[in-house]
Amino acid sequence: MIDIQNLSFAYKKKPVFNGLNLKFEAGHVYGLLGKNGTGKSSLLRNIAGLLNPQQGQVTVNGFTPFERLPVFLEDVFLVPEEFYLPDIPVAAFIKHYAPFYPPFNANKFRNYIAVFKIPEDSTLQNMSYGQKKKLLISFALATNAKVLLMDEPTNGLDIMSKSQFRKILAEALDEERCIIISTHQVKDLENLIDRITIIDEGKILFDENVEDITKKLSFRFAHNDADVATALYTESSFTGNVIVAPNLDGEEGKLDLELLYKAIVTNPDKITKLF
Amino acid sequence: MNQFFSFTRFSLLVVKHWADNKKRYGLSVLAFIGLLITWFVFTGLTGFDNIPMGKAVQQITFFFSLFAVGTFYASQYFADLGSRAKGIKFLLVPASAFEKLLCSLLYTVLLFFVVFTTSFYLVDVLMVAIANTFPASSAWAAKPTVVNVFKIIIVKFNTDSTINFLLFFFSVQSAFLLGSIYFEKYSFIKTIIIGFVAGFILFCLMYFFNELLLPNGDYPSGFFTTYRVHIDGVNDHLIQVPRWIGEVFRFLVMYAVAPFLWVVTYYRLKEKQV
Repeated sequence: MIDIQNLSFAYKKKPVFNGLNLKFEAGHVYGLLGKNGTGKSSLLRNIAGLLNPQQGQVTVNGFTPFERLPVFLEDVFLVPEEFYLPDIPVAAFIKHYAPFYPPFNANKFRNYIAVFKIPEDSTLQNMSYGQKKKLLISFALATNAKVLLMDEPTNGLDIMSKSQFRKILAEALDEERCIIISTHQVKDLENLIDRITIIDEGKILFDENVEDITKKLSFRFAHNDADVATALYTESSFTGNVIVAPNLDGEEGKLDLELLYKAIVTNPDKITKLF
Repeated sequence: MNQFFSFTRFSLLVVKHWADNKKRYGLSVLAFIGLLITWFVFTGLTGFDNIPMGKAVQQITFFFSLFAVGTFYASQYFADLGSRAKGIKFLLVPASAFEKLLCSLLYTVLLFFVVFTTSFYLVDVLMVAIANTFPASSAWAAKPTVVNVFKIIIVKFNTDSTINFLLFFFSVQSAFLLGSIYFEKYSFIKTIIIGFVAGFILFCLMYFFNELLLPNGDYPSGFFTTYRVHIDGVNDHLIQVPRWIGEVFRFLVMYAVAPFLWVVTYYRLKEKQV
């Protein structure tokens, strides 16, 4: 669905990617993690066709994104971190924007905004940032675009809205759709993501399925000092030491995305050797 | 569906642009009408042009405001691309770059001109009627009448001078439309500066060409087509370029500048990155 080969991209004097290779398939929710400025948003914008790679090739649904052909744009929707919505009523927004996306499903849209508790007769001008974001997410999902790119989608959402977002997104995923979420709020999306991709210094540091991760790593409290000594990553807390350790019994445990991220960033070699 | 141009998509884009901007456009037209009335009252009170709503006031007001408002509007059309959030929204709307450019031309060139001229004449007719209700003073040259600005000779390229002047306006406006996509911020000011710099460089080149390269002489009929080399007034030489060269040059200046700038705008829009 999305094929990135040997991608090199730089902002004037600041290189972002140098020979990046990555694939995203339909039917998955990808979590794109990384430090600030490592290129997560730039990657999403390369996929959406907003940036032109200096070298290499990005192919999305068989199209070159930067050509920005209407048929390509109909099937790829980006929910950016910084977004703009016109000052018009919600009904007018749907009336004038939805026809650009032929598979747009108005019933689904109404259902999503009902879950988010956004009144359909309101005006975008009078909405808070969080409400606007929820409306944009609802619109994005209702377009039925095959590729959905989300940059920090839970930023600005309140606690209730975050769980509503997870519920809606879980409902919206199907076998034909690929959802890529770039985020720092890893806890918000823990049970949603089924593949983790970590970018660091413009390179892929880690790219594995959640199933494989939970089979090979365990995230738990240390029972004794030996656990701490053999752990791949340790973090002290009030209730004891939390560790990331090799999963020796092979039973799938619960994934702690935040711990995994910290473990990989601080100790990439040890972790990647296990996969 | 055709990926370069589809009438359905283009219509959607035109309607969407109107829905997004109708409030702003409506208020702008009202503000323009208000300013125009204020200006006509002001010129009437200050006794400019001998009589209130005189011919010169109407002419100057029409052409000056056409240039000022038209170029400013064009310089704002693609201003959204200077903002990351608005730029993303604009570029990711599923329509081709050609449709987006065509929509910009429909609004900035065609609809702007129609709305501007209509608003101007609404105010003009009203103000002339009001001016005529005042008792004529002995100092007034004549009773004010509504002037047809399209029949005024302003710049004498040929007999169709007003048409030529409007073509010149569309060329200048196209430069501002291109400026709005080139410059992310202060595009109106930057385009004016670039325009003056380009004009100055052109002037210097012409000056250099005339004063230093050509022998002493003048253009007796038509710029660039006929050159008279001064010798002693009797044995002067007349150098004539074939007529078609002059015609082609004139055609290019009049009709090709705006389309050329639109083509550049198209490619600039196609290659725009956010």
